[in-house]
Amino acid sequence: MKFKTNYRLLLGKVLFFSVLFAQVVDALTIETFLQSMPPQTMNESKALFEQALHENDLFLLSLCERILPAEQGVDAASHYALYGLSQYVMQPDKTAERLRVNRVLEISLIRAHHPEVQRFFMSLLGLCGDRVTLKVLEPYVCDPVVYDDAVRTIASIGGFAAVSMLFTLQCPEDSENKDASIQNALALFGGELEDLARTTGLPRVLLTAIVAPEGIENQVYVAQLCREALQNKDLKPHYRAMVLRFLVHLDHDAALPELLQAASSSEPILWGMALHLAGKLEGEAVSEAWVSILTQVDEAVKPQVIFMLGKRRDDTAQQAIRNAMRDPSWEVRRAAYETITKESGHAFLNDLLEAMGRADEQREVKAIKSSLLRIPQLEEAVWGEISGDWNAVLSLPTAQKRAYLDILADRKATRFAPMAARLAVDENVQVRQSAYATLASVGETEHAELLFEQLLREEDTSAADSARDALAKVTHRLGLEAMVIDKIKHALSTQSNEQIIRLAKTLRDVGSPEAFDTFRQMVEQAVFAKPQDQEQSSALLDILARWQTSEGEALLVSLWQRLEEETLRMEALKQCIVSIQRNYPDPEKQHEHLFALEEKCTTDSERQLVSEALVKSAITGLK
Amino acid sequence: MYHSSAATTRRMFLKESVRWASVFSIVPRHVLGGAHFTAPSEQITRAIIGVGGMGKGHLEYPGARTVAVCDVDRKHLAESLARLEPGVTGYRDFREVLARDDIDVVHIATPPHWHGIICVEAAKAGKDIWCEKPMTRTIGEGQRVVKAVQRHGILFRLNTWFRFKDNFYGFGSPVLPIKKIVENRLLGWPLTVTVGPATGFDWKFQWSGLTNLKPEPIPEELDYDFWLGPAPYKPYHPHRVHNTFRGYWDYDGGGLGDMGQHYLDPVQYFLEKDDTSPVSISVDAPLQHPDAAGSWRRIEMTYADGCKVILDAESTGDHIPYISGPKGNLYKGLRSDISNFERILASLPDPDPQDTDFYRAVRTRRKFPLNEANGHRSCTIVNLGVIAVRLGRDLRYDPEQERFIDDDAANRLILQPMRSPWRI
Repeated sequence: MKFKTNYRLLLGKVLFFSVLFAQVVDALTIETFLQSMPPQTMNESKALFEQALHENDLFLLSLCERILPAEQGVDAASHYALYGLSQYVMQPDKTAERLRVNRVLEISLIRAHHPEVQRFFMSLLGLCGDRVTLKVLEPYVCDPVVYDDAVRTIASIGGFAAVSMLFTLQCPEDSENKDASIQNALALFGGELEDLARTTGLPRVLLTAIVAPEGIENQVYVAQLCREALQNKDLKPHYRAMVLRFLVHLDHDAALPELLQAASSSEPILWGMALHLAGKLEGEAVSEAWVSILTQVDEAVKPQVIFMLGKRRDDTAQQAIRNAMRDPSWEVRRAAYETITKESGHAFLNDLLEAMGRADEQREVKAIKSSLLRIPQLEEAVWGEISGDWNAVLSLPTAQKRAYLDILADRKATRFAPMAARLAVDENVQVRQSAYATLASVGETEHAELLFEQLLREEDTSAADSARDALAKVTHRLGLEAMVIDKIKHALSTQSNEQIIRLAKTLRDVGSPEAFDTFRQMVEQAVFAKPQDQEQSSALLDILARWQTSEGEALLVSLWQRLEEETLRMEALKQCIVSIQRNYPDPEKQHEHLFALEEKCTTDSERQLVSEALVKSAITGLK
Repeated sequence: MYHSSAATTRRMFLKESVRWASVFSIVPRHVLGGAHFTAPSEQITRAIIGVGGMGKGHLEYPGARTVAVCDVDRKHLAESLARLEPGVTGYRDFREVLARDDIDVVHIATPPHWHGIICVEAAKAGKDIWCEKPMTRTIGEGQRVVKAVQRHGILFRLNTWFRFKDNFYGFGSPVLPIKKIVENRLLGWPLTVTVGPATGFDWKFQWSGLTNLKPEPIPEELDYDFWLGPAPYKPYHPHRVHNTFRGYWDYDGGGLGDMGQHYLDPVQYFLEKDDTSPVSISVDAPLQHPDAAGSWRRIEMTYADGCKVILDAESTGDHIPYISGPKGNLYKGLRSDISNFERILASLPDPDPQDTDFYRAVRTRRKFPLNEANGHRSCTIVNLGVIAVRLGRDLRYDPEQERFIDDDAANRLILQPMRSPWRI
């Protein structure tokens, strides 16, 4: 009562002076202040708000008066200013200023009549308000419109205690809404127990223990209640999971039987929780207990038990993982591979290598490879396994050879290049292709020579492409362009058509100016040769159209203009178009080059070909 | 008046849409067939709550059968139902969705001010949860989600994926090699990570709010009061909702709220900070508006071990390292000043695996790699930044207690009271 009287006196004084001196306030000062909103830096903010705080209260009240309902006009600068001020005074050394700003905001709240404006001041007070503010807000809890805002602001400032006090508040017309708001705000600070009691139907003693375990008086009794609840089949699975979790928290290892029982449940939430909690119990005896139920649990659960055991480090758990790698079920084997980590990997290296030897499905090889790649210093470990004998790998199954090669490529294990070299001549074409890819990343100069030989030797076209691709990569990586071009020049005269094309494609992949010169000589010689080898010439023009630089386009245009034989001339023109389309994805650029080409056409059929390309390009441009 | 309580079937909806909507062009998926067609079977069933924005994408996620969709905007609901198989039911009130016993998983793609409440209610209903980022709008709501999920044995997946796969925005590489580099201490320790335009990350300040909103009539199709839910009442304006809500503190945190968890969750992962939070936060920003989120220049967060995360909104150029350490730097495009870097990187062991298939996790009951616990921590980084920007000052934080040290104003923003009757 005393507080209210004093506050009213203070409020009266301020209001009196605010009315009396309203005309004295320097409007320009406020305008200047607001023109600086929002300040761009913390220093600017500090200077501005210090300046504002040096002004009298009327200055601050006048600022507050600028807050109007949005429909009457939004003064964003005032919003910035008042928000900034309410934040600024919350700094630790601004206690006195905070009191002052709070009082101003409270007065402004009292003077406001529109709910939107009242809400604005409440939102600021929610950030900086103090115990006095709580009293100012109380009447608003009875307001039919902003009661909930008031309750929330009180909750922000005073927490549980302040909201609890509101139950004693007598409003002129008591409303259910107000009570609901208060209940709602209280729930923020601890409505769990009531919620759980309402939804689970579990004994209150048990729920109280779950919500506040530090207050348990009779642990044995609560554990007993947990065990009874777990037997209650009417209790929803996720509530049983909650009880199981609490029982483990309470009884630790003594809850193992309940965990094992839950693992046999048909409810995924329950067996999932059991497996999750199993990780919290230590000791080999726990692992033994889990291993003992492996044959009893559901097929869907067994892999998950394995996965859980994989996180344990004792011998029993590790042996279970080894056994799992030989399990007839793919899901169980998969769980075993997936559970291997960087830390546990070395212990399972032999098992993984053996599993790789047994693996006959791509998904299994992939899973094992992933596990191997997690093992630190894998290469050294494998080197030890094969006793330093590269030839040992030759007798491995195809899938295993390919997986090793992939691993070496991923790891860029140059030390293992000799292994890849041996497998580059393997009888299986897939192994050879993997070996080429590996040599692309780990091969040395001698391996470039091997790849060159294989490029010419391969009967399989796609394998030859792999060899060529690897050769180009090694060439670029080691700077072997001169050597490779030299070898190509020497080989050209003795090779068949197909091999000549392979060599030409290699020149394109090498892509250096020297490679282009060599290729130019090849193609000029081929297209102007008499008698004409049409097939070879066409193939070379096709390669030229896919040259990595625009030099290819220029040479094609030049060849087309110089060629006389009609079929080959048309072929050259087609490849000119392909080259333009490939070099200029932008339709406008494409048009430009195609128009230039059209101008050089000498026959109707040539013009028609270019014009079709122009139409196609225009349609693409439209899309 | 819209059917507020009873569930609405697709058939009812289509009937109603003749009255309500202009024109719907409906070609049911079962007529078209298509790659994602799934016959009702033993599949996992799901509901998608919030189908106006990100939720549209969730409709397409393979691996489960959608049986319900929910939205407080009737237009959004009608559009999503038109894309789905017959038999899918539309709801306005998510509580009706959660009350269904035949739903295994709920996808939560509402605006963030709803995430916390719906997550907690879903956990209490025994549903597994696939929640959009940012996980929660406040740190306190995140704490409640963690508790509810763990207590009820629920599986939780946060919907950002850059710690697992995909090119990491403008960085030019996935996160996996970064993880390898960091966990093998190639750059030394502690590390400083700079997340900004110079390293490939745009803070999207186009998500700033407007400061001059004048009330407008609420569109007929929108239940605005439900849309606001726990947020303070503010007069309706179209910029406040749907595609632009991120610009208002009551619902999200501007560009930082939108992109923060995408950018920062991977940082938390490779910095090995999945179970902790920064201890100090400093900020360089203009004064913020009380309602509308604005831009900022720099937020610097430091962990107890000296690792730093710098959120830089302004610096450009390739000279700024993404990660800087005592032994070297890592730049955008996975470039480094460490000699023989590529070869060393390749020789390092792979990080421990992360299974990215949430529906597999639902079947195996294995914890998803980005779950409620580490998701809450990476969302906390975002929320620490938001609070520092809103308060415009440096802060100290206790990661154990999850409270600010000696800062009443900041602590008031940790868990904010909700508009009745909404609670968490």
